[in-house]
Amino acid sequence: MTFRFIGTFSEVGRGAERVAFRRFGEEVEFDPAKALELVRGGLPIIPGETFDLVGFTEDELKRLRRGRSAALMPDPARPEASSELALKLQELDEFFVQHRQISAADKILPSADITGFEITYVGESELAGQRAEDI
Amino acid sequence: MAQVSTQGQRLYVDIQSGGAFALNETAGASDIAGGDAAKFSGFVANNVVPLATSANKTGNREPSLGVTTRRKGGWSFDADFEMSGAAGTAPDLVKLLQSQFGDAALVVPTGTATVTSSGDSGGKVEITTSSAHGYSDGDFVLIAGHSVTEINRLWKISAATGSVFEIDLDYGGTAGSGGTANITGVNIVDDQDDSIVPLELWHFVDPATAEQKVAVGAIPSEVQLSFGEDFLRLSASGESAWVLTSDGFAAASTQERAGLTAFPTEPATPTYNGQAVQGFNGKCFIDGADLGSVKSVEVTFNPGRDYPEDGWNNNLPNRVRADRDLTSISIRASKTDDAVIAAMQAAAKAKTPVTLFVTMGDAAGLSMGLSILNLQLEPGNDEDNDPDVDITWTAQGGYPTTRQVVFA
Repeated sequence: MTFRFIGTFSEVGRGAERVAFRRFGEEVEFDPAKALELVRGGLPIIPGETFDLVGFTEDELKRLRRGRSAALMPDPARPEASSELALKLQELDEFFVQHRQISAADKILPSADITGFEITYVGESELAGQRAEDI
Repeated sequence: MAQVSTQGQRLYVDIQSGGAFALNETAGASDIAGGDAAKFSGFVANNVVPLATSANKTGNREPSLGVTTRRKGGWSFDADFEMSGAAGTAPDLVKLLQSQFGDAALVVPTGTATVTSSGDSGGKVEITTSSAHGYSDGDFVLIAGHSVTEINRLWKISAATGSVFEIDLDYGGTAGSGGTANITGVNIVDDQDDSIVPLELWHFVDPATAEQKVAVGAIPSEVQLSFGEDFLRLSASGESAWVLTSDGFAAASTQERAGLTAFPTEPATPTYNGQAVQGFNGKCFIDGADLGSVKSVEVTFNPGRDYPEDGWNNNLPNRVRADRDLTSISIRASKTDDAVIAAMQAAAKAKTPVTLFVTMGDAAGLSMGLSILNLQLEPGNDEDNDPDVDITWTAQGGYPTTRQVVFA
């Protein structure tokens, strides 16, 4: 499953198996269960489909690879651009916070049906039968 | 023989949910995970095993052979503090601050608003949002993408009502427009109760055949944040119930093993997030006034916790003790004729409590705010640091100090 990196810099693993993420929007393939574990560990990734909902342009992605602060500097030629980008980033951050909450270990039962981040709670939990995204 | 590497070291920090004397485990197996990894620049954990030597006279000048006495562990740590790089996500080192404050880090629910305009409001800037923002005075709000770049950072807001709020920026420039306001962040508020939040600090080194360690029940006795250097610095030190080692596991007592049946192997996928941030990209406010000539701020927390050496029938500690919880600061600034400096000197003379607010960073995932109430300043001391004249204040916090850290 494809995920997108939305942080500034992260590293996973050690030694020869170490993987570094440096570029905002970088695509990475993970098994969903592994991705969930990594998100619990703080890795800022979200499913590619969710990322696409925000609708970043190529130019915006290019700017974001220089860092959020630099990307949001006002452009005298197009002063509304930084505000538009801030709104998109805000939407993205809301998605990510939601995904972080979904992946919180105390909310997920061992037998939860994990498909990407669409998690339906099962078993004895009071959340049983509900989709995580609806909670 | 393989030498232990200075670079091949990894630290894993977790809160011991079962108290100071029990590592987190399931059926004797540690649950340390890759997500607990945190970068650091220095860490040591060692046991302190004193030798008690009797003062009895033996008739000659040599002392008698000593005996072992009460023992415990000690540890120290320092790092260039790294923000997570992702909005609303705690830094890898947040658990250290949780342990210091004794309170959990809470993610503030999403509270976003679209900024329509900013304008001067008598020494402050009034921000107007497109709809009611729902914020309250004292909330930490991150503004991004606004046309006036000075406004794009984390603020502790005031005069919040309806669709307006104010920030402590004496800007006086032209009005701005656009951008977003966001209250989402990871928030630690010290409610000054007696909670003791012990840590387990795992230190794995290369090669894996060398001695690996965990400080069991690590409690900070001093935590220091230093603003103003190249990087924001965090250092901490304290005691632990014991330092359990891989080499010493077989001979360790049940208490020293702290619930484990075997010393664990290191997690295969340590996960590090974020990057070290500049220690000087920020602002310092005293009672809402911008101390524009600030050079450095050092905040030191002394939670006053230790393992007393007074237990019976056991060389190891049997409890954590909580004494006075002290907060002290040191602020150095270039001396100017700014009104804020005169106000600080007046507050120091009258011992009028002041509020410190430091805001660092200027983007989501890379911002931090620190607020401390009720600091009582000592009069500033001048220093002739040719060609500057600097002034340095120290202060101690008094109850309620109400310390709050927010990562946005």
